[in-house]
Amino acid sequence: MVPVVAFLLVLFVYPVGQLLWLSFVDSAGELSLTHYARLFSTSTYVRVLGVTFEIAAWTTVISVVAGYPLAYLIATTRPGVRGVLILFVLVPFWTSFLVRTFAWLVLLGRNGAINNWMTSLGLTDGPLPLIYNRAGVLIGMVHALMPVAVLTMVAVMRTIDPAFSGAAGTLGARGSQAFWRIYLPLSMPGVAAGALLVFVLSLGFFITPALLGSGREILIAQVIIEQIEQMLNWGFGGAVSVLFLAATLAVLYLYEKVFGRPVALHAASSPASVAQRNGAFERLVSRVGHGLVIALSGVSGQIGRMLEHIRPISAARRQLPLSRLVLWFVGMVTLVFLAAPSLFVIPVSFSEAAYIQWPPIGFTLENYRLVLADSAYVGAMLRSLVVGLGSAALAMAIGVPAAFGLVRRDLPGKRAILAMALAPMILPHIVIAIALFFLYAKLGLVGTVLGLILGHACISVPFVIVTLMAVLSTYDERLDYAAWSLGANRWQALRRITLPIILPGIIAAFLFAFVISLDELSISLFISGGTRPTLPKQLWVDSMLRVSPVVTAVATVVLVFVTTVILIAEFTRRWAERRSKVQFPEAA
Amino acid sequence: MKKAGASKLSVRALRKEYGAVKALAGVDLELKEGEFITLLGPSGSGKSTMLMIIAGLARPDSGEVWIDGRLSTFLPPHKREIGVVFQNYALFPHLTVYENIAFPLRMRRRTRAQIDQEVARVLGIVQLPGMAHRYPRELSGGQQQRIALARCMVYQPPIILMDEPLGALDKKLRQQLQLEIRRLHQQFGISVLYVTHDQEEALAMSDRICLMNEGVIEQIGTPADLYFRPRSEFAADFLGESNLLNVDLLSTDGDVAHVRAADGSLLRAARNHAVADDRRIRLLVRPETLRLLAANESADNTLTGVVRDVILLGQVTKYFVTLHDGSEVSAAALTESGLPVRAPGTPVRLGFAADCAVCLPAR
Repeated sequence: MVPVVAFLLVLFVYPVGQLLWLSFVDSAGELSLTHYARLFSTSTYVRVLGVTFEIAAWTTVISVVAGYPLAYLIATTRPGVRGVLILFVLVPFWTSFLVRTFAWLVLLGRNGAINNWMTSLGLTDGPLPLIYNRAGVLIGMVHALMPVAVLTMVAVMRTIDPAFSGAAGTLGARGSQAFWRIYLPLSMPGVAAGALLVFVLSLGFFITPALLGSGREILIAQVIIEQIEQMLNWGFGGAVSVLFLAATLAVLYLYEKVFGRPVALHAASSPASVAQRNGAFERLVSRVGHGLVIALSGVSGQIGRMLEHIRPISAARRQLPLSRLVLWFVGMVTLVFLAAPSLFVIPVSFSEAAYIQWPPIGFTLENYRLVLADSAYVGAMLRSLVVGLGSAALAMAIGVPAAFGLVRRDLPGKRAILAMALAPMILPHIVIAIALFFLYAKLGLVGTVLGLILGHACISVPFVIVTLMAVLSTYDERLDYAAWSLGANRWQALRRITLPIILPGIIAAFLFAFVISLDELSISLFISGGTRPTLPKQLWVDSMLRVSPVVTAVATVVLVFVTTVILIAEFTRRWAERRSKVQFPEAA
Repeated sequence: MKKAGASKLSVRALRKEYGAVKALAGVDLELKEGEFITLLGPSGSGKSTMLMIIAGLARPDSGEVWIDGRLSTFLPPHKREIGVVFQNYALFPHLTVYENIAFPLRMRRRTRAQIDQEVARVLGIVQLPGMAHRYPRELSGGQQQRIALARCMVYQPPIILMDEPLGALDKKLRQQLQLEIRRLHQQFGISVLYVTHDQEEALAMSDRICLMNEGVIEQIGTPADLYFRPRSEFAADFLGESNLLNVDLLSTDGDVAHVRAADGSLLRAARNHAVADDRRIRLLVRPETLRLLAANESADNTLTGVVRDVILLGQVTKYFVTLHDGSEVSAAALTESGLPVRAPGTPVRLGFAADCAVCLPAR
């Protein structure tokens, strides 16, 4: 437990605190609100803030509303089918934002696939402006963040006992009424947690607006990057970070108020303990929500009755429930939206065309040859691999003991430690990146591989802890007791019993940490320096100039590599869960 | 109590497979008005599957479900007018006790006044008035069970299905609630189909017991039928304790069967028409029908052996006796201070009446 606390104190809490402090200090070192005054006095920044919150809000609403049916489908389908469906959400979840943004350039660009199809089908006369506008930014961001919403909602929905819907049915509720009155209210903690995560992550976005926006959709993160990279204006960066932090804490607070439990714990327990609502505000929210749900239940009940006149229910024949068919259709459309776009990058990388266009022309390996001939790319790839392996190893070294401690021991301040360990997951990475940049600048770590390894470990540790805590919580500690009673000492029990059983979980956690580092852009952007970029940074720098077919070749390599690693990690993780879940005979 | 007779519920040739597992392999069952039938069997015998199909929460591969004379095989649950009490109660955690019980009434569009009145009425019946504004998690297991029962009874469904409703409670509470459920059943004349794997519960509560095994009905009848006249070794073994002796069936004479035990002694037993003459069969003798004979006592049948162990179980004392052929039987007698206690090693004679021994086909 000590290493993870020390590590995060030095590389997360201290630098972020430092950065926040700087925002309250002027150039002469006196306490002042200069930076905030500047932030709010210039109409540009106020406008940027407004746009940021607006786009984040839209992204959140669309991600949650459109993601809900898919999450519901995944949560309520057969286990085998669920495993497959969830894979199609996980792969885009882990695929780098950069690669997925390129995919939208291929799909929605002037010469992109969609314009090409629409023109050839005669639907439009010429190409429509599908990107370089707000719609493009929203599509890109929803695509990037919807998996987060879906996975969070599924986690909560799976804790809802299917018997509740069945019970509602036997008590006289039609399917739709059971959904609105029972299932939806029980799934609300998941919806809120998903919305919260998407919203907070949206606030820190810069890749998508930079590549898919018109230039009017500048988000606050882009302003920070500019201020720090070009002017080294720490105080201002700190002020914006404070804003991020305040917004994050505000929504976290709201969540805990409404649902009576911190968001980090939303999936850990069943929604059974949800109904506590105390304050006037919470009661109002619950009243309004309740009224809305009752109204929707009534309306859908009426529609159901009307549909029965058109398509009477047969007692003698097995009928496909219409609602389920609609759900499958909507779910599949969403899944295609999430999983398919990245695939469009692949054929373009083999195209002979000198710019990105659809359909690809001919077949050539020229783009790949150019990548291999470019020492900048080869160097960046090697650097990314070294940093990835190094940071994953470091994250494991401090994360594994921490996960054991958090699951097995009743430590004082356990909640505080857990909150600190998970904080880097929720705080926009860009804030961490700037804070580390400031720290590294003093320590001389900027542009070093060690600096990158430390920085990436900082953001992958929470994932290691979460993955291992999940595996460990399914591990039956009585196995250890048995080993001890059979004469094994603690170390022998750990080595011969515990570790072999959770080994796949450890491998999975390592691979996830590796992929996080491999895809990481925010931290690399600042601390890798000008001359020693990681692969994502090199891609980013190039794509800011022009998204060329060469870039799509690199993106394809990244896509295939990361997908492979993720599939291996996911299957190992599933294996781990199955294995550590020893079936004990039920007490009669 | 209403007059029993009319069929409330019947299932015909019900089949259901989960992959390679046959959950139900052609089952027929009829529940009469006001009757209490228990589906009894080990886990995986298909009893819960049958209940779920009747409730409309699972679909059969083939077969029919008739409810109140209406074909209902594929009807959705809300069209069936059946009450279900679930294994873990399935009380809606986000609704108060009042809202849980009001739920079925709201679905039936009752007025506010009616709902208030009905909820108060059933809370009275289950003896939990004053709990209306608690949440389920604030109640004890026994209280949750009663609320689940109240929610199910409030709209007065003519048929109630119960899926191991007492499975999560401790033994004392179970026995108390068994009696309570039975009282409610008799008082309101509801037809009940009850699932359990607990034989004592089945014996205590049912009008008839439907014993299931591997997706088929092994035997159906009154508790006394199943206990005293089991038709198979499975039935004999599942209900109560049993001594099963390997014997040869020699001849039958009216209702009496003559058999020869492994040690050669000739015994008389109740005839079982399902068992063919002249072959090796099994003879069931319940421990409590085996008596330790005093020197001057005689019985229809006698076996001889040596006491191996004596165990005092409270009301009952159990003797484990090794017979001359090496097989072991147990005999149970009410514990009385006057009873001569035979120490292990004592030779004994065991006696039992002819009509207490049941012939069973060898497995």
